[in-house]
Amino acid sequence: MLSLAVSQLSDTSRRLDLEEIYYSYRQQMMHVANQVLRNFADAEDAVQNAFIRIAQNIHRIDVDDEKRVKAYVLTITRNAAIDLYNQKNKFQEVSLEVVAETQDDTEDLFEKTAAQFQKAALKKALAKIPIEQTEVLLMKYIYGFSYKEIAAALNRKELTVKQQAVRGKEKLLRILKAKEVAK
Amino acid sequence: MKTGNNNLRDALLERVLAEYKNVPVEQKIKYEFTPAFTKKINSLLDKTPQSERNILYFSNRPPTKAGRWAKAALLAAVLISCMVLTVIAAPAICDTLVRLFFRDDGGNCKPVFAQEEERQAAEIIPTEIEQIYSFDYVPEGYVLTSHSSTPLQCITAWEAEDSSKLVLSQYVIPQDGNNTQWFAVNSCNAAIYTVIINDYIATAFQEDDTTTYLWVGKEYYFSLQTNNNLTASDIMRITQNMCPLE
Repeated sequence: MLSLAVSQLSDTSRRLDLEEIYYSYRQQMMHVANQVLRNFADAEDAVQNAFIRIAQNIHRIDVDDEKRVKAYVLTITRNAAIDLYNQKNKFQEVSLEVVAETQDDTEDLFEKTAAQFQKAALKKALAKIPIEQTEVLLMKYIYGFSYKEIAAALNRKELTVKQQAVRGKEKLLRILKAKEVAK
Repeated sequence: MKTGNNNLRDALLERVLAEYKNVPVEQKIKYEFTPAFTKKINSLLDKTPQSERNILYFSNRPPTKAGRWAKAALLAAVLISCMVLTVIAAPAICDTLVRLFFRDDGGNCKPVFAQEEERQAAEIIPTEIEQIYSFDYVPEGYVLTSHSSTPLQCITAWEAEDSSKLVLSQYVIPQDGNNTQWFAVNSCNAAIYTVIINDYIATAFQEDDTTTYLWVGKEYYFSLQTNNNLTASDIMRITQNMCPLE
């Protein structure tokens, strides 16, 4: 019975979190979706899809950290809106080049290099990499998602996500190293 | 893999949030969601067990340390309620007309009712008190000391010789979901937990020698304030004997 109760508590907690997110961000979600879709009916559909994706990973979000919740919720919403836009316009995710299984060898070097810089420098460097790559790094380093989970949350192919992470980190490393040399 | 590098973490967050710097704050956007959308979202939220419906939620407030503790207390109480409900097989929790939330500013908890679109979907909410409720039973020694009513609220009080008080207040559910004129509970040092009152889920705020129970009933919302010398079974018996005043 205890395990049943604990499981109910856990579900209740997630439900509470989900409601809190919904009532705290639904208008902003709608605004973000409508900026992409320029159509309120479509934006509602996108918000609904985003909300389902948020619900699937609600256990990964610390709802008491407002910045993290907002970044997560609006990122998911923007991507859900882009998906819907692509669907409506029959665009498909196409890789323009043949990508081999991307090997991520940058992990340790990235962490070590990033540790040598202050927030302002990192932020400045991050501003120079595409938002799609930054979103993947956000999911990976802030929420601890695996590539598979990021792919599901952002509705991208897993290989694409992995490639975006590697490219984002490589570009960030190049920018940071150039800064280091300039010092 | 989460990073332990705070600078990287903050920089990533701020970089992504910068993308949304032109998004107005939540309260300034007044998009009216369609009933179909609201229905779909409610349906998604309702895919949780029946026993969890209509629990009182904290919402629309910036996260506060006090709020986190209050939520933890609320969740602990929900766990206990689940266990107690399982053991005693209590009757099903009644549906309320609209959902009740609390806005916690760190010092006071103010009831906030469901958003406009949900209220529109609900049945007609009385705008004036059409039926006054009172208790058929009060513990021995308590005598009726006052009763006052206006179209919007009704307050009945009983008092015992040792100055213990029992105050039942009945209010209409405000038309503006965000605006409750009469009620705010001091939540600063209060223990907050959930109890079942008359088949409705109520939130209890217990501080020093006073406990305030707050719940939405069939048509109105109620508060019951008591001194802490009343037991849980006293409260249960009192509220079970709540009935329309002739």
